[in-house]
Amino acid sequence: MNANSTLAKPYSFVLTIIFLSFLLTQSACMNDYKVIDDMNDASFELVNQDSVRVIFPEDFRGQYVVMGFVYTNCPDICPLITQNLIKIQKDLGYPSNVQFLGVSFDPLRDTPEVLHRYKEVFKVDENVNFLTGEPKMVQSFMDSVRVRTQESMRTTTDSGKEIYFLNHSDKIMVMNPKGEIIIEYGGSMPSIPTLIVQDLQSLIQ
Amino acid sequence: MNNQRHSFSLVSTRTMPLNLLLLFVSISLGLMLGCTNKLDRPDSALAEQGRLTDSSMAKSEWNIAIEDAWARPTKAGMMSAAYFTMYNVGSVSDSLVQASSNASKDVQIHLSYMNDGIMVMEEQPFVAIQASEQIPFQPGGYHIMIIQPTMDMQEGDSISLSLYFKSGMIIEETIQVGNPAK
Repeated sequence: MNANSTLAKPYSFVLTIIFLSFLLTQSACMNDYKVIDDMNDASFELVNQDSVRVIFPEDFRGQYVVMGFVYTNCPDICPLITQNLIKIQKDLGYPSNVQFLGVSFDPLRDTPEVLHRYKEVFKVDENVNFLTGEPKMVQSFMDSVRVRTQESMRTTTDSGKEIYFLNHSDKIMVMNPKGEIIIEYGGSMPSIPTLIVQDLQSLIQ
Repeated sequence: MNNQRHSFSLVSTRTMPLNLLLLFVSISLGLMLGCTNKLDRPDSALAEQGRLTDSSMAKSEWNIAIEDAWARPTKAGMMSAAYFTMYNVGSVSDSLVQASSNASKDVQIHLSYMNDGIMVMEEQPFVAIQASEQIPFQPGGYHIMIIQPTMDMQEGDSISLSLYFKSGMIIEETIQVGNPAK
């Protein structure tokens, strides 16, 4: 009995050490996010709502970037994505070291002027930019972040206007200061802001 | 035989103007009733818009209502959507077949949903609502799309929203711009 007890002590000590090491390793890895996409492989020349040239990702290196993908003729889902971007920024306390982007995948209609009006509608903060660009450049950018779009419906309305809508991916992503996409969530879901805020807080601290 | 013919001819000659008069009165009454329908009965509005209605349902069976209606703020020429909860508190099913608003001539019923990782939006020819059913029109689901409104729609503004049903019922409401639950 005594012999067993004496033998058990070193074993339990070793097990405790292993367990604590495991916990320490886990906590140390908490902030490690798998790289989903490395955006440094390419460079995209875009413009913001004020027609200011933006080079992605170079212009954002050294900062976290939260970006959603929208088009302004979308009446239902894209406003949710935009509102989620706004909520993330608000819940983080409007950090100056995190940039917020809404990138349009409908460059034919979403000119800088239209994006400027869209920004006014949502009363977004200075630190949120909406980007568009030449259609080929925008398509190339969307391919690089795996945002898919397809024309869903082209219709002539009762008043004779021809309009079309787009089916599209529903995403909000986080890019780290090294230009790597490390977080990707569904963009329009109500729970997304909380998750991204938690992730960003653990990363920034 | 001749008498009979004669008599028939006489009757016929006498009744012809009467028949014509009756026909004229019937047509006039029909037209008057038709005009009355156009003014008072909502299904005429649907008929005008080429939609089929089922006028077999009595007005007393119209038991659909909406609550918590609101529209998304936007600027003239952009996009908006209206949301609400639609209730059928009656015992008869019905279908929402069309919507209109003073904010735009182009208003459609749409549904957003996720399909194979892609967010899809489709126009709906109708939305059926069963007896005692409630259907939410909410962001990411059913919504009334207000296409390129002719006016700015700012938080606190109001717009009209009319919903046309297969039964002939129309719900006409003034709804607020901006989500009150936000």
